[in-house]
Amino acid sequence: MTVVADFALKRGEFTLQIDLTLRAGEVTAIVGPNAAGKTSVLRALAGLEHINAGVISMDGVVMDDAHRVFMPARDRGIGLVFQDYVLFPHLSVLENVAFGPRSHGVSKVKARATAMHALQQLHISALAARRPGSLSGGQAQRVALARALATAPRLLLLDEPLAALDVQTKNELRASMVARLREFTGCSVIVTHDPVDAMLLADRVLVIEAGHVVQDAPPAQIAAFPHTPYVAALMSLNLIRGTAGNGEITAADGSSVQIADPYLSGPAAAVIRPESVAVHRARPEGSARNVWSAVVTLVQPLGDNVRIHMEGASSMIATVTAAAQSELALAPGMTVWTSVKAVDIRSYPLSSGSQVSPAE
Amino acid sequence: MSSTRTTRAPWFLLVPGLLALAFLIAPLLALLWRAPWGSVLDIMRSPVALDALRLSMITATAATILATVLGVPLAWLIAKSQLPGTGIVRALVLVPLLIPPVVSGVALLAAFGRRGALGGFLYDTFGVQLPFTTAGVVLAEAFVAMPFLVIAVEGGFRSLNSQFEEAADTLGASRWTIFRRITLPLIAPALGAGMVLCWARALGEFGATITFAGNFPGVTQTMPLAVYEALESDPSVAIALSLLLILICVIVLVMLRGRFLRPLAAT
Repeated sequence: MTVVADFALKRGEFTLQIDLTLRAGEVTAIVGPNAAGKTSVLRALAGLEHINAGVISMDGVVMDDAHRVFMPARDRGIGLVFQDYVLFPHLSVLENVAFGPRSHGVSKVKARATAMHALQQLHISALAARRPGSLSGGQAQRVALARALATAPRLLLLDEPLAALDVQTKNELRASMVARLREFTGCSVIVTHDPVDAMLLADRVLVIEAGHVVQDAPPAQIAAFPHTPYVAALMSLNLIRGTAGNGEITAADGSSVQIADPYLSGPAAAVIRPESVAVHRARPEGSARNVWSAVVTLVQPLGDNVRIHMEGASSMIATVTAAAQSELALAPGMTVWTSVKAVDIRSYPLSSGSQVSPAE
Repeated sequence: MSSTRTTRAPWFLLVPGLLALAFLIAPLLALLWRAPWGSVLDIMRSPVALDALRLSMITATAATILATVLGVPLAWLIAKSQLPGTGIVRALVLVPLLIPPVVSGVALLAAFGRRGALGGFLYDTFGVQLPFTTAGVVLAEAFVAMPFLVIAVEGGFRSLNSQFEEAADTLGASRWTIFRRITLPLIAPALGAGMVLCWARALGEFGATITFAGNFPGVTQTMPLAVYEALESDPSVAIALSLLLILICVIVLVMLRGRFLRPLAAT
């Protein structure tokens, strides 16, 4: 099972440009800011939106070529879990899940058996007789997943499957979804804005910003080598992008950062973990070669530590211990100095393509 | 707390408001006051009354079925299709609501009369004649009452979350299955309300019916026509028949209240 999606989708001023190949057994997460086009990718794959150029095909069979061929959603063999689940309110849970098999021409008895099996796999067979209106968010989410899986789809599409849930339910469901997606033999695509979902559920992360793919890599690589400020912020990292040479990276605004790698050249990025950023009330003396001044914008308690958000030449976050914070007494509006040792900066080249090879 | 405090009505709203209420209730009370209670059961059981009642029930129900079968697709076209001119179509649908029913009757005669545009063709080709027949009564009632159904059902289609249909689509359902198993059940409250309104309007239809179908006992004389005729000979019979009509409307409303008029539980 291979899905090729190489298409453009235009809606007014907005253009979505995607070139993507999905392989069987692979879970792809699509992350990106709001209105980046994540859901449009799912809807185009599902057959709920027409593409304007390019092609979508599954195992070589064309689903949509923007001109002559458009296979309707019902014939594509897909399963879609909507963000707000969209369970049919007038049907019981069992009938909701049996709806897919029934629509594929299976007898009522057999469809119900298939539905019951799908419910059992997600450990929710006790809900079979209930109406969707009486379900909790987590239960409705599992029913929606069972309904999508009951038709044995080749391509499973999940739109923000955990977004509407409270934190505890989210953690429980994430674990059971990891297990369920591991068993699934088709392709799956999961749209999310939660980095934890992307890290735990996906084999591959596709970052979309303003309708374009800005990074396409395994989760660990995305986390270690973010390409854009959005991804860096998602991973709680500081990112500086610019041109490397002579042991430093110079950003477009003229500011520069000293790095440990003297041989790196061309377009490059540097990431700094918030824990590596030291914050001072006065300009520090010492060995740190990167010293910037910045204004504190937000002080956010984070467990035993405190996260300091700052705006300087670029925005920056630092994590300091609660003890350090009680000594520094940082507050929004305060001008501070930050310093980072060059050895604590991870630098790597930014290729024009989406894949990046690690170079530390 | 301000939210639980009862609002004292100012006199300039209270007085006309109560007057309006009295105006609406007084004629109904007068009906009860003037009713010939000694003979009311005998009048209701008389052949004229029973014939008119039977005919009214049959024609109003048939007109509602006709209006539903044709009106639901029309409501869908207005609400969901992106065809050009749906705004004009919606306005046209309202025309039978606005024009006097007797004008509707004249218009129906022009269309379906023996020498009418369509009626001539029907008579010459199939020997079918609609004016002054029971079928003509159904036609007249459907013409006048269908807009009520179309408007109610169109509202239902319009407020339906299209994601339900999209979800059914991704699950492999055909357009017909989606319409039958998802769309129709989800608009059931609107459809039920529309059918009740349509039926009640058809039951009370007078002007278009008497103009297009005439007033023949047993064939085209529905309850309102029988009431009108009785009024000329014996007003107490007219009052008894009127009470019967009101009673039927109340019974139907009470019977259907819990079934259709309650909105579906929100998801």
